[in-house]
Amino acid sequence: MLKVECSDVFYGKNHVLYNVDLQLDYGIYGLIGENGAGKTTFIGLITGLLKPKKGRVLWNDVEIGKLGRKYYDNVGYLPQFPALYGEFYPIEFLYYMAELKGMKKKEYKDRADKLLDFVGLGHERKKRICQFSGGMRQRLGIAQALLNNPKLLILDEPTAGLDPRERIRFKNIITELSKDKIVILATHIISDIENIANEIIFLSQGRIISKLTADEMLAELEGKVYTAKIDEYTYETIDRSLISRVINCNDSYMVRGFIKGIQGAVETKPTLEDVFLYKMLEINEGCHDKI
Amino acid sequence: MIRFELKKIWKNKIFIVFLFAFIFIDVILIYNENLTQINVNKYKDHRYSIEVYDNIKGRISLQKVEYLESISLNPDYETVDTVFLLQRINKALQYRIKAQEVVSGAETNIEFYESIGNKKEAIRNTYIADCFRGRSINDYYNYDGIDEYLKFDYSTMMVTILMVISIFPLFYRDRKSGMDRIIKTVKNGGHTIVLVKLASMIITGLCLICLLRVIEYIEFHVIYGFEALDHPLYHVPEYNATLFSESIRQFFILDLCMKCLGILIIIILLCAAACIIKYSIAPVIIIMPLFLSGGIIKLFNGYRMAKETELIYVGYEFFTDIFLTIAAAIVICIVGVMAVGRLYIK
Repeated sequence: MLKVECSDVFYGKNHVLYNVDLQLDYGIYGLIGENGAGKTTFIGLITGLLKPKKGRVLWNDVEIGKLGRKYYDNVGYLPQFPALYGEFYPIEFLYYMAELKGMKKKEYKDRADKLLDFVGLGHERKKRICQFSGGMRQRLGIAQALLNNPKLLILDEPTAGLDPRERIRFKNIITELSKDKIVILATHIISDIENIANEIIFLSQGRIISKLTADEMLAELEGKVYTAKIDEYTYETIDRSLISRVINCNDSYMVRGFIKGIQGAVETKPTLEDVFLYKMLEINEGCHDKI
Repeated sequence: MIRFELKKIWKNKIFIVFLFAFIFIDVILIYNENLTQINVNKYKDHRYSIEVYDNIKGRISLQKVEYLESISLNPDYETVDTVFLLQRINKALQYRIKAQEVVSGAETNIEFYESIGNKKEAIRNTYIADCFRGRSINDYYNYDGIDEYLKFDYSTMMVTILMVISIFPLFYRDRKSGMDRIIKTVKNGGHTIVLVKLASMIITGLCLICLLRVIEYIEFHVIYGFEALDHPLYHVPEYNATLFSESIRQFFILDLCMKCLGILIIIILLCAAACIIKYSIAPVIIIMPLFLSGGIIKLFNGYRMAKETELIYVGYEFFTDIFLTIAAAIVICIVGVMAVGRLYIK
């Protein structure tokens, strides 16, 4: 179990995380927020890369500072856009990471081979990493994060640069792994966590706005999301910040969002994208009355 | 883990290109600086010099001196400088007397300084007397090239440049690429990895200095034909006054060890600089003044130590500057390694 208790993080004098307080058990957690919300900072906090000025982080009720480097026996981390080492072969890279994780040779040799197959890179062994596509590097990055069979798996923007097929593959891998792990997926691509995340942590401007299941978040928006077909004049005059999606249909627009007041608007089931937009509107002052 | 860090260095294309370029430049530099000897070797009548040398080398004897005097009038041997050879042999034989003069002088000084209670100078002169006592040169060998070999010191600068190139894949690339975030969140991502990186740099640096020095030795040996390397260093005319009584071969090894120690200090300084100044090429800027001033390279130069050994009084004992330099280097290495460990984690 991972607990973050009332933690504040500063970069110099800049207060970047405010009073973060949550508890995570086994399951998949989506960490969403706009660019600059503090997702990577939050990850830095729970990985021990950043120390809180106030508060503490506990792993199984022991402060991670007191666990020292033993804490990392339980952690698997894939940061955003890892470059990896181009001159290495994929298996070499995994062996290197395994040794860095303190694994014994007889332990990691077999595991590295299996992980390479697991992430779909078994047939790419003879290529150097510099010859890999972005998606292949990302999958190799996931493989290294899984080497030590961590109980806490942190993936920061793991699907950035992946094509749709690879995204689906990635979601399947994560779902398979999550049974006995805490998996934290930091992303601003809602579809990454749709249907797989047990709970979604919404972060904005350094604050945790909400931590709910997807169903609970969607339930909040029942009756608030509408679709409508509007003409160009209406589209030009409407408050665009309330629109989550627009499709151009020749001389009209199919819009979706918080547009209850528009003539012809039809109520529709909310999605997580709508939730994201709603939370952003909530944060900006004086927008409640628009919705 | 070391093998992977070494791979990062040795798989760096820029590193390999520079390495081969430096080996080439090293060979060319030696060739250019020793053209005179190379031309002598090529000279068609050089075989007479070789013949004469083969007849006179080794233990000096009256017969050899008479042989030299006899061929001096022989027109076939007019290209052989018999006067020079006789002077050399004479100087070798005179060495014992000169050494004894140094000992006598030192012993007189000891008496004087003891009488006025200057213990420091008395001990210093005792050291000098002990060094020169019993010295003599009874053999004649051609020691040309030994001074040139010991003086030749471009390899230290070349290895330093290669180390600056090596530091990028080990210390800077991780930060620029984001790999450092992964490495800092693994079990051995603290002191262990920094020591492994440092060890890789040290292994590489030491291998490079040994490689270049061996190449230099081979080239000098090909040009000059080193021999009698088990004779004391003071047998070499340029080193008659040295305080070292080790053999030439031992001194070559000592010189190599001193260069290794110098490279070790440079590597530790580079790594410390890379840890402090995280995102720039500052190490290059820091190291360059060291080159320009001579600095660390001169301090660990075996040639300088053989020619200009100083005796330094510490406490109640005299130590040679080479001994103190080694001791200081060891302390700096230990402190430096600890500092690098702490700085990297921060």
